[in-house]
Amino acid sequence: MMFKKHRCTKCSFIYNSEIGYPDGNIAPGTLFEELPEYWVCPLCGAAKKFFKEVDTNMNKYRCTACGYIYDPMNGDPDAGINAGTSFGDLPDDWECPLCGVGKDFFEEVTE
Amino acid sequence: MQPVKLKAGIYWVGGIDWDIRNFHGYLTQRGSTYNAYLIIDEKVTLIDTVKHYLYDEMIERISKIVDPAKIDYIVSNHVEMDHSGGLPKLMAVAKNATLFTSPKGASGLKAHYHQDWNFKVVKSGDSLNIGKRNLAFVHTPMAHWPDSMVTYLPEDKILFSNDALGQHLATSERFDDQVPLGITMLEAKKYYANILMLFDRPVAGALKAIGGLEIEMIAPSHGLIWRTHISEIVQAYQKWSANETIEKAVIVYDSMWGSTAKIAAAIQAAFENKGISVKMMCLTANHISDVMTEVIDAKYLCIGSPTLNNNMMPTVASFLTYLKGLAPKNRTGLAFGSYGWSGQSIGLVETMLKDTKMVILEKIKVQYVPDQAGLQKITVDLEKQL
Repeated sequence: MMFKKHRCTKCSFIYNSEIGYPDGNIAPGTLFEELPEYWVCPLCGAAKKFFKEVDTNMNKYRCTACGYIYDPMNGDPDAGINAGTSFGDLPDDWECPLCGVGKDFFEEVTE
Repeated sequence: MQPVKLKAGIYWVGGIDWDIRNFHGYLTQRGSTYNAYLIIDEKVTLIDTVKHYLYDEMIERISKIVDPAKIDYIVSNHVEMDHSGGLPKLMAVAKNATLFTSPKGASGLKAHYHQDWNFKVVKSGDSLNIGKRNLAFVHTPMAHWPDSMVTYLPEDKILFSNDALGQHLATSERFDDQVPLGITMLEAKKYYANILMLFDRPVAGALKAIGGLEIEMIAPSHGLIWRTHISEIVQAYQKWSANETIEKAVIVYDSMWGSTAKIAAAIQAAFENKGISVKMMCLTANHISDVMTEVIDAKYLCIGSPTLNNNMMPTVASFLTYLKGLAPKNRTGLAFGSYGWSGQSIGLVETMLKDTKMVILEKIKVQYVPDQAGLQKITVDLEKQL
């Protein structure tokens, strides 16, 4: 069974279904979808709808305009992107740090 | 040296480079110009400069209108030195000038000239009031450098497009209706093929970004100003950036003892028989930048090299390196050549073509000298694949 993670878009708290949230009486193994609608982010109190599933695709992506490679292992600290952020989780307005084109210019590195 | 008026208060004040023939490897057989534009308003504004050795020419043209020391604003649309080369001397003269540029423009200019000029970074969509007029900045990243930006003047409906839509063409005329259109379009095509082909998507994005603007003049940083044939050049850019091709083959080759040339002719016959337009381009007779101009709209690219020293000929390797960099899309490729004993060249050419993601036709390899029957078979076999 694959346990999914969900990130709070307000404060970046991660809900990991494998761990649950025992302090809040959420048992390990409780899927995000199974959390009650009134459940809120334990850190910042944001509603459930502000959570987004964490993209677990840790593949690299190449900028087709300049050749820059985004590596989730490194993130893009200059733009405030933490190491460990998947390409899919980059904000929509993120730009190639080398040449400035948008996310839609990137292709997944598969080889 | 005179300025040339575009509209009331707006002047071309650039430099004409009559003698340049080698622009970082691109054969500029008609020379070039570096276009700077002066706007006389409450704030005296200069858009771009010229290559360093034409600085005096630019200053002479500016001085016919205004003392260069009175320039308030300078817009740098592009960092590359053919447009920024005049800045070090100019910033020393126009001591109070503010330099407007994109974020990558500011970092790029600092990394070129190592000066702490009075930079003002502008975002895409920002506007600058210069008196009766406004300048609107639109970033066009990778069309063709990260810093690339265009500047639009809505009151006069002029787009200062920098390198986009330019041509390497040295003339004393300044407008597109003063020179035969065929020459201007050919130089615009060659410019796109050699400078912008790789950046097809950023160019398409830039075209989209300027698509909604009302434009009466496009004033690029090289060559002639478009005022009569705007739709022709914009449509051509749309076609080129969409990688649209026609039924046309470009056969590019070199030969040691004439055998690869014979195969090239047999390939030519196949296309002719099919009614497909053909361009034969032997690399000892054609410059690689002229080959690229033909490649721009050709569906088929046939590349031939005999095997020399277990490799392809350096002329062909040079062309393929250039082609791979410019990366034309949606093409069909064919590798061919003659060889003596080992024959590596044909496979190496084919690998390079595959690297550019072309659809590959069956390669043609002939040991030593092809005979008449062999050549006919090449023609017939190729025709079947077309």
